[in-house]
Amino acid sequence: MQSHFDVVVIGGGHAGCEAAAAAARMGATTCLMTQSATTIGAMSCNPAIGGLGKGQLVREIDALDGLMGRMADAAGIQFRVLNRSKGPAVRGPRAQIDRKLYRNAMQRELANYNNLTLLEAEVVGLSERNGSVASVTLSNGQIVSTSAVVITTGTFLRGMIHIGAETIPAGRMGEGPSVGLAKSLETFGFVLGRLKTGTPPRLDGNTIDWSALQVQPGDDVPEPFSTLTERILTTQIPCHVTRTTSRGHDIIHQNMHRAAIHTGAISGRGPRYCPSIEDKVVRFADRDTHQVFLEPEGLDDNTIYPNGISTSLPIDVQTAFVRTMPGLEHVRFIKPGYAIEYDFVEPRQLKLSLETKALPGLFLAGQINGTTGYEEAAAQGLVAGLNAANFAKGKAPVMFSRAAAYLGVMIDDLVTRGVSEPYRMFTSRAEYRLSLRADNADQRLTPFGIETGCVGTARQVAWQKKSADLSDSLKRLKELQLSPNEAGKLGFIVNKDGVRRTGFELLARSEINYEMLASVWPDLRDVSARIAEQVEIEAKYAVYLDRQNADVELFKRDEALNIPVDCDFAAIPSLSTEVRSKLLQIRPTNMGWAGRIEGMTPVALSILAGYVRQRHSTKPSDKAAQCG
Amino acid sequence: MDTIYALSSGIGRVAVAVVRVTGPSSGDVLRSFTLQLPQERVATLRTLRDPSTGRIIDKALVLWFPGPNSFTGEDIVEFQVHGGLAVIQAVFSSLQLLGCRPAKPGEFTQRAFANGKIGLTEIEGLADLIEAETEAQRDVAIRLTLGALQTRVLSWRTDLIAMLALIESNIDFVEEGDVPALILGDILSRVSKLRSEFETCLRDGESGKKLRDGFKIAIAGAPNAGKSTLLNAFANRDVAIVSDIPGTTRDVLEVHLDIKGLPITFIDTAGLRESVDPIEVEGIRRAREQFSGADLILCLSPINLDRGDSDPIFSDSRSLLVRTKADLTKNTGHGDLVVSAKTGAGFEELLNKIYELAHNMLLTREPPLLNRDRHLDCVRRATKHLSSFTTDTTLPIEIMAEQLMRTTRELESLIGLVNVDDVLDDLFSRFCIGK
Ligand SMILES: Cc1cc2nc3c(=O)[nH]c(=O)nc-3n(C[C@H](O)[C@H](O)[C@H](O)COP(=O)(O)OP(=O)(O)OC[C@H]3O[C@@H](n4cnc5c(N)ncnc54)[C@H](O)[C@@H]3O)c2cc1C
Repeated sequence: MQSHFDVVVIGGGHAGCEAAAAAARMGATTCLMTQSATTIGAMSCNPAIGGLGKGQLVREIDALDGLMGRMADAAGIQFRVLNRSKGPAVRGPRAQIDRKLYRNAMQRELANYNNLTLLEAEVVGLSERNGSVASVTLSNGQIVSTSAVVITTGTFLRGMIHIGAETIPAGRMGEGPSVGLAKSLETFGFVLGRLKTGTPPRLDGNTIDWSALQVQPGDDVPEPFSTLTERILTTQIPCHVTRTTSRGHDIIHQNMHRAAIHTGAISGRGPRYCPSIEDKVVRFADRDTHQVFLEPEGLDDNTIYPNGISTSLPIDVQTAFVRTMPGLEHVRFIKPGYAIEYDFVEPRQLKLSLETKALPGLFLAGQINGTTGYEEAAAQGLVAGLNAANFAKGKAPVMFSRAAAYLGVMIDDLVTRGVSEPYRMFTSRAEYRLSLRADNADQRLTPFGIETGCVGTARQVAWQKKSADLSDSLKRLKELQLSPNEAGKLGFIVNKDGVRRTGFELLARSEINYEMLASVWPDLRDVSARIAEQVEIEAKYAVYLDRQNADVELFKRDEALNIPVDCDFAAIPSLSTEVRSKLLQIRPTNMGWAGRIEGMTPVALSILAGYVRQRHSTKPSDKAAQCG
Repeated sequence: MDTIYALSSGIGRVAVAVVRVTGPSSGDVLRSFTLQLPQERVATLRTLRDPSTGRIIDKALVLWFPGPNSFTGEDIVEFQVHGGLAVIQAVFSSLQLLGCRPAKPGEFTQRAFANGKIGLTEIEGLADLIEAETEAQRDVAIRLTLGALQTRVLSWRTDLIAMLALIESNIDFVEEGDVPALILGDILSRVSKLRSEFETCLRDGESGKKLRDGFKIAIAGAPNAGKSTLLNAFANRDVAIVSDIPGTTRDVLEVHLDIKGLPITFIDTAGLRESVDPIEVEGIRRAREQFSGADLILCLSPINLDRGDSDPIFSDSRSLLVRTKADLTKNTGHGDLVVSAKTGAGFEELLNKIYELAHNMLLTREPPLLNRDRHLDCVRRATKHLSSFTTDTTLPIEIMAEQLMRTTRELESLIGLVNVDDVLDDLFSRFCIGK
């Protein structure tokens, strides 16, 4: 094996896979080290990828030539666009995933990736030289030298599983925790916190009475995640829906004192938006039933994932409770549900590039940063991978703004606000939601990706074609015109004001769709369905997008007001102690960022602006490639 | 953070002078003068000694307000000393020796704002209160100062955020169940209630603004119609140049009066007539400009001449015809208002008429919450964002969220939760030191 790598990625989960692939695409010699090669690309919890906010992240990863979208397309067994009845800005593509197909696809992809070496090993420590990261130590004592490290160890840092009163040290069920690495991080002065999450029991599908259950089919025409996927080829199967019953809730109430979260065994905070079933029956006491989706884990796998009932109750209680649900009266468990507690690194110790402030060359991505979810992990992995490669080559960092991408929103939230519960992506976290859509991720990011150097030839070619088609299409639609009279004759109701309207303007109206225009101008039919759909979305949102773009300009103005990296926040007079200590901790590099810090008052902000203007007026800004 | 001080009472030889100190070393400062801290917020009589020499400076009332329960949110000390210049000077030099510096204008208030002790609209109220000239102005200003607008805006904001939470949960979690259903009719009726509250506030706000600026009365008429004479009679002092040479009042003159508690601004303007003199033509142009901003135009026409209706301003809806120089004739004016500056005849009647018009325009059933363009602009924009709800009930859910969010941002900027830079600079520069 080589004795030196540009980039070492620790952990073969979703963050690690994207990080390793991104660094390798950037031309860095990269080594992905993970405890067990067979769990590369494993899905720890639910067998699904995408969703609201999350689906947007997958599309963004894809736009930067990442892996998750293509792997999910190869392994998806039920595709559904969520919120289809709502506007395109809040729709999210989602798919049920065959675990095995996904893992295999990912392992195959990485095995053949240029510049990438896979190594089965547990990393137990890090070391530095001259103030930046220099090598990693493996559990067999071997030391591997490197210019940059990305840690993506998920729930493994001092992981502890809870099932009722029972506790098992583990990173995931059946895999040992990482303790050495956690200690190593502490010696570098990182502040670690504790969070928890949970997973439901896995059920044997052969013991479920399917006839009693409502069927939930996928979309008629599955919509792929990746713009490089023509069609979904895997067999599509439905999910089923059952529900909890009041009898089941009674069982939980009677045994509440035995749940790990209530015995005081767990100190970490869990996600409020993804509560365990024991939390749900307490918090929604007035409801006597909750919906539970029975999701298949694979085509040739009889394991069923009951979505919505994660739990840390003792196994006997889990069993009794689950058997009160229709269809599950005689169900057998394959694995019990459990809660897991783990260390995370308080993310305000990171820069927007996901590099740690304390140790140059060390990058963190994924659940270790306090997030939850595969997509959140993968998106961070990609950004950390790009930046680790750039760091190794002495290039400026790559950053994504809140106005450019969901991944920019997420990273900005993490490094600015920190986390108090596992962080998950939602569409409502994005203030420029109308422009950050799943359908236009490639328009937003692929050109930047090409410039950055992380987009391969196949995607470059595909993008250039799509981009040309799209602008042709928009141009044509803005040239075609109808007078009110002509429009009226064709059945479009518009004001008889003598003003000619373009096809684009007509399409903005809620009652007119692309197909209707195509019946007037048959030439419009010669574009792909994707292009037609996108043109229509742009038209429908046009007024709002114009306004949002004005907001984005203001936002960019503040982002462009740089605060020098060596700004002495401690020396600024008239700031409250609280604000000053937040500034010292987060060290924002522009005024827009400073303004998003919690507790930052408008007055404090203007004091800061005044100080920066006075002291640093002649300094040039720090160089970085910024998207948006 | 500096500790700062200011003379909070008037300057000159006064019986008692108040010196206030705010900042982290206020407590130490007080101890340096009096050795020990008095009981919190209780006026205590103490001997003040020069901290460096120990010599007695004065016997004074001292007050100790530890933060955060103080005006600025910081530790505050207040000295009530005898008002002699030498006493004040001695206290000031000791304070400087102790490392304090004089406060800049508005700096006490600025700190209160920085520490969240006072809101933006409360500061505006304070500024208005300091500038209030009439009872009606004082009444509105004190309500602002006490947070009437801030409280109202916060309650609107709470309502908006509750609606947003409901909508957002229906966007982001609806597939996961466990979210309360979105009842469209409910949202629409809450929005329309908010909107009508905004609209009422805007209507009253127009009065609020007028009340703050004063009810503007332009006096119009041909040269020598008696405009300046009338103005002088109102003001009861010589303000405009009064002469019998037509065309004397070429510029614009303003007089602020308090008529039974209402702020009234009279504007005298150049006489209206055809002229070739460029200076006079300019004066007439300015006069017409004044008319456009006036709430009432008193159109004067001497009773011994033609009514002079030839000028279009006489038929403006805001115009009130006043026949002047009643002493020159026995003519009763056929129902027109007739006054004489010489005898004072008809004056009472005219004043009553003006008061009635001003009263109708300035005073609203509820005292207005909004009283400056900044307020009105914010609420107007907020109203506009909400207006898309009723005109288009098929609004997509994400657009509803967008509009509610924009409305919320407008309200937040109204009370200074966002975008305060420009407002603050203007505001604080108008404060006297020590406020
Ligand atoms: C029990 C459980 C329940 C969950 N529930 C949910 C949920 O309900 N909803 C949701 O959105 N998400 C849930 N998740 C989270 C989701 O699985 C993770 O957020 C996501 O997989 C994190 O990706 P990652 O790449 O950061 O880490 P992981 O996918 O956990 O990958 C970590 C990788 O690091 C490797 N590793 C660890 N330590 C070392 C070391 N010292 N040396 C080398 N390799 C190492 C591991 O072998 C593993 O391959 C749950 C996770 C768990 C474990």
